[in-house]
Amino acid sequence: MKTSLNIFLLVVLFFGAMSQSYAQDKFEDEPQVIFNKIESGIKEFDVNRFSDYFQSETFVSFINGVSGSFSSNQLFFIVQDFINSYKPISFRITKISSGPQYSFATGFYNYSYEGIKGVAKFYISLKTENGSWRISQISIN
Amino acid sequence: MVKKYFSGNRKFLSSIAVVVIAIVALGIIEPVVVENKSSNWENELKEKIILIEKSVNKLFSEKQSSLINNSEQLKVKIRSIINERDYHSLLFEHLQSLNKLGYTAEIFDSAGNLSAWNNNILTDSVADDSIMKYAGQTRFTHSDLLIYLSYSDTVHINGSINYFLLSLPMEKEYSFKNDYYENISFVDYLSSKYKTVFNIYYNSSADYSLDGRKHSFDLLNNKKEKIGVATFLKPSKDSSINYIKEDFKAVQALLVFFAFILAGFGLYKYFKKIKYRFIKFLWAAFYIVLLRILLFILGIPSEYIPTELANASFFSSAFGFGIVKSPLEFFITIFAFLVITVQAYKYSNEYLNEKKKNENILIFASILIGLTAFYFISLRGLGAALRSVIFDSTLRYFKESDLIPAMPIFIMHIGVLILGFCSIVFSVVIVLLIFKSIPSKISNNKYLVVAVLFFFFQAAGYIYDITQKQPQGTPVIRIIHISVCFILAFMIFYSNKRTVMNYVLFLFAASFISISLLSHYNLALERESLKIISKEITRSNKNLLEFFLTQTLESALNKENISNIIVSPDYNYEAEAFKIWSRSPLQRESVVSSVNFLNASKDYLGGINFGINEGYNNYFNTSTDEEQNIIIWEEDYLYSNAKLLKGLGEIKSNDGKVLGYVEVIVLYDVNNLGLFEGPEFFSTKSTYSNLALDLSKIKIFDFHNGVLLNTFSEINLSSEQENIILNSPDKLNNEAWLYLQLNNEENLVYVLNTKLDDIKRTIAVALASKTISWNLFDFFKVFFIHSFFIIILIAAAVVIGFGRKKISGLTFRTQLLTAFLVISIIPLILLAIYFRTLTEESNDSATFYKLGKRAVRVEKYVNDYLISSGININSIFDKATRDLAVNYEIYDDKKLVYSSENIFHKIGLLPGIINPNAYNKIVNKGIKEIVVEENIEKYNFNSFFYKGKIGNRDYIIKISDSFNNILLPMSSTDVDIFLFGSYSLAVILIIILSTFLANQISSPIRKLTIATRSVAGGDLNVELKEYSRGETKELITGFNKMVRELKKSQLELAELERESAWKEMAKQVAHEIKNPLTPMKLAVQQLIIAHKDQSPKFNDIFEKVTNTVINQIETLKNIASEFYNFARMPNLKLEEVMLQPVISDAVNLFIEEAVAISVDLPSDNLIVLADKDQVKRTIINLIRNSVQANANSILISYENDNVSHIINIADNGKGIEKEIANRIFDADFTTKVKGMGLGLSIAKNFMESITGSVILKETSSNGTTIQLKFPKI
Repeated sequence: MKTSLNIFLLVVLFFGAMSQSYAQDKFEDEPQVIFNKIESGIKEFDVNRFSDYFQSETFVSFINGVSGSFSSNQLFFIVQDFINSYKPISFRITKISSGPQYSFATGFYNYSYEGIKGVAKFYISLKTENGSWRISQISIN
Repeated sequence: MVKKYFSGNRKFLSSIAVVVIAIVALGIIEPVVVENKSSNWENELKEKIILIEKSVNKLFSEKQSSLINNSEQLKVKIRSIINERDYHSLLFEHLQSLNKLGYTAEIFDSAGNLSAWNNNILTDSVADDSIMKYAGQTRFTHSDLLIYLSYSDTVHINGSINYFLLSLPMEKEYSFKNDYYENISFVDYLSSKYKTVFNIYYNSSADYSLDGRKHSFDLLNNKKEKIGVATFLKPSKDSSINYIKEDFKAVQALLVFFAFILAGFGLYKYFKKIKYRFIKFLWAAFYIVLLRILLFILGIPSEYIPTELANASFFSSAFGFGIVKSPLEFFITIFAFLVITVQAYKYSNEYLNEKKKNENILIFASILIGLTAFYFISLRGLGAALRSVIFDSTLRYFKESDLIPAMPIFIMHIGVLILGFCSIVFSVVIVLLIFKSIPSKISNNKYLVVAVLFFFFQAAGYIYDITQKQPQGTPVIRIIHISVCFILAFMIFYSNKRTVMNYVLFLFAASFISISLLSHYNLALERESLKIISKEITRSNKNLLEFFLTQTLESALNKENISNIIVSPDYNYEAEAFKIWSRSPLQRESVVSSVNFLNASKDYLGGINFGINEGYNNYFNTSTDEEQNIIIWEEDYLYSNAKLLKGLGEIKSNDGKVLGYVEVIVLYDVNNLGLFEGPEFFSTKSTYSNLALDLSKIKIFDFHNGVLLNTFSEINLSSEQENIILNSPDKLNNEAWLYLQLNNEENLVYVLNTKLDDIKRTIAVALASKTISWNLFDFFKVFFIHSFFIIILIAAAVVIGFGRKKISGLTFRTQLLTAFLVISIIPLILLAIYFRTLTEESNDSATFYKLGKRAVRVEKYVNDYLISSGININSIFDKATRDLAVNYEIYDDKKLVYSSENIFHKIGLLPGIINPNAYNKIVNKGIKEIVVEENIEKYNFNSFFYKGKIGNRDYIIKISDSFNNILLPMSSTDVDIFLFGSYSLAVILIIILSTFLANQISSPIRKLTIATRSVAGGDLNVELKEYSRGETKELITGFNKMVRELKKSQLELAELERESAWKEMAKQVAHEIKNPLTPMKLAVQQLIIAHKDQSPKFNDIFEKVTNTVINQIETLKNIASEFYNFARMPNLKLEEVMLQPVISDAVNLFIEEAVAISVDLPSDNLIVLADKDQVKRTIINLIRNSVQANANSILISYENDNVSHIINIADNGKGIEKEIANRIFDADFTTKVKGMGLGLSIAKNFMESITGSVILKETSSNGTTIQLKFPKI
């Protein structure tokens, strides 16, 4: 009985430690995860994949002239309209840099706009807000 | 059989089937068309290319023709004015008119010198060979920043040859990302028109593209000589096929929409048959919702009509999966709500007219609680929607300065008004339903009941709000909303005000509530703006700037002719650097930066610099990115703690030899708050420019590692205040909100902690609390637009009313109201215009004075230094700029000799020649000083030109408010805002007062009019009450007397006529009776004689006499019957009468009475055989009886049985007592004090005379129903 109880406690402790470590890893890995979601979301026309990470006011600057700070609600449709017009052919991150409160990624965005192909460079930055990583800026020009 | 098949609903079903077949057919045809296009693509491509080439050539020819035509007109003009005394003046004025058409014009005198111009110039002398060499030919000319299509020619003036050059700008080689920039690009125009990428080489030596994917052709001038090459990307098969697919998709979408509409029409007949109103309403709402969703899914109209209204960057909300994702979608969704709301109101009105009442208190309580909850949920919905309108939008509803704003804001304003209208109507319907459900046992005192319900609602609202985590709106708005809804519902339910005017009241109430809520949320957004500002300050960092720097360098190195530029001697590198900078993110983000060109030895060739004070260094190679030939590194900035990020890109020839370098420098200054400090025309649409609040009112304090390093404010913080700020942010969120006293004023402060580039920064952004408060001017700014829209609706309703002949001419009340409004508002408008003009003149004077003062100071300063020092004049000019802090320009005749902002002249953004208007006035007309309006792009500014003396020479000094800040008493924007606020309030008050007065004054006249109509219709029981004094009272007293006399006379006349008729009839009867009586007497006398004489023929005589007597008695009987029949009935004018208009006319006589009369008759014609006037009198009589029985609601409805048209007239009056109910149709029976009691009796007689009937169907204390049965023809 005592042995079983000890084993049970050990198992509980073990999983508790694992979950804690997982949580910490999750936090540290999050910028990479978010960037991956942005990459896949844009390629597949699915803004929902990364829209949860928008800040309450996020700054964007796009090739179509849209520029400024927008609420997360607005930004969803602005990004959706943008990728529907400038249809992604490829969205490739070439550099990621992470810090304790700030991360950014740059890369190339190949698109087709009304049948005409073009390429733009993008800069996406993340900041921590209330303990979570949020997208603070997207520049595609 | 075919006709039968397509009749009724089958017609719609068949149409839907056809549409569905069409949709399917399109789906089948599309791949066939695509396949066909694919297989014939080669031929089609050739045709397309030829078509595009021809079209472009045609466009280009048109431009040339226009240029040449204008040149010819210029020649004609010159010849016509050459002999005028003020020839030069007139010439300048004509060239200004060419300016408006977009042409740049230069005229040279016989010596080849510039004598007149209208804009920037391409050359100041005919010594430029091209003008003479290419006279009579169109060609491309290049200035520093623009490419023109030019035409030069000669004009003979008084025997000498003069030249002129007329140019049309074709291409701007720079761009700004702001509202002032006006793009001119023939290339962009062609690319957009032909949906492909165009490129034009504006020189005659350009070659065709070798890229097989492109097609090139020559651009020829008017002499058919090559002057350029146009190249475009050949249309691709994929994109052409995509266009076809999109077209098919669009047609299919429209067909689906059309099918849905047809389905609606088809189902309408079944819809009308639904018995229960609530079910009907649910079905109607369901259909409208489905229609809206369908429009959204099909993308109609956003995807098919290109409009800025479909731009999500103006407004978009996540509500309904994006069904309000742009201003246009928002408007369409709100419109659908409007239709549903109006249906709800309509059905509720019908329900209110029902006599059925709820007597169960439990049911009433349930309804009350349920509907109250619903009320507050919908109010919360309104608040949430308006919050989204503010927070999920970049439109600044309260900062818009134009009277009528741009379309996106205008459409949002109208949407908000309609949303508010829906909320008010919906809420009023809820309250009406509650009123309707009040049991009669507790509804005796309506005021008490309504007051109790009102307080119940207020209490419920308070409880609802305190249970919400985030209540929407404020308690004051909630109280006002409930009060307004109760007042409106009371008017409708208890006072029977059910007219079109209700909608106007709803609209104004909606406007007030919605603007109040918008204003509340705008204040919240202003508070939130403090947070946005702090984020914007910390947005820019080294990594981002490095990204921009790299992008700019790469873009510069990839420029097509960069390797030619770098080796060209005397090239304008400043202008080239500006072109690169203007199209880069450095301009877009207003970054302090410079772009420079260096030769192969890294010597400086030229460049532009915005904000960096930096001498020039030699470079050492550090790390290289060999692939991109770019080096980036960081240096300390000599003038502060900032850093310089520098980038150097190698410009190489084809064989890899380094020809030169492009250098880009960006200042990374953590102390820089990101506020733009350059000229206004360079400012970008940044986050700061789009804040909800005025940036000049905020204060910013920037701490680095706990030390205050940077402020945007004139306030000094105490150490205590600094500590409060530094210690306020909580550790989890790194932010805080607090209140601080700054300069004895309470300020709301947002504090943000952040760490970037190893610096811990604390940003505090403060705003005076009083600034974030409700503002009357803001309120009226939006109210003006709402009122404008409401007035248009009212005008439209009036016009439609005129068209349907429901309104014939203006009533007395409307004429009065119009007169009051005209008398009051016109002077107000004149006053407003006068005030505005006065303000503008005052501003002009202030501008003249302030700029003039600076000009005089410059003149004095320079002259003083010239006399006292030996410094050269250009150095003195520089010194004057620095010491006086004035930016100015000096002109020697027309030529610029000095400018404080010389860089803008060097790059070609500002001309190197004096403004032609100023020159004309000062030099030609001899005016000493003048203010002239100038512009850079669409940025307008004022320039003061002053003819002064420097040394012994005349110069013209120019001071502009584009480079010198001057404070005006009140700008035009401020004036407009002030006028909005104060005059709108005055206009509203005038409208309210005028309406009230017009109503009061016209009320007796209206009553008189209706009474007169009633009298004309035969109703002599009308009597008006009037409590006013004076002529009106006399008029009404006179009218009442007249009606009484008329009635009396009518009765007397009727009596006399009856008497006369009876006398006549008696005479007739006597005469007729006498005839048979005489032979009867003779016969009886004969019998008596025969009896006395014992005549043997007595039996024969007896028989003969008795027969005679019997015959005469028969005759008498016939006479009596005929007279009886004659006396029984008055003369009736029988004809086919349609009941609906007769009933409608009778009802209209009671419009001004305090009774709501509803008429529910079928649309089919109800035709009876009757006397039209008698029918009308009967209906009038019955309605009047109801009114006199204290009914405030009458329903005239229809029933159908096989043989009769049955009209029921039901009221909610006091009813008829059982004891007298069976006597009401008797003649001379009445319960009224006045009156003969003949009305019902006459009605009965009339109905019976046309073989119909009138009965008392039912009566109780809740009302009475009289039933008229008209036999069908």
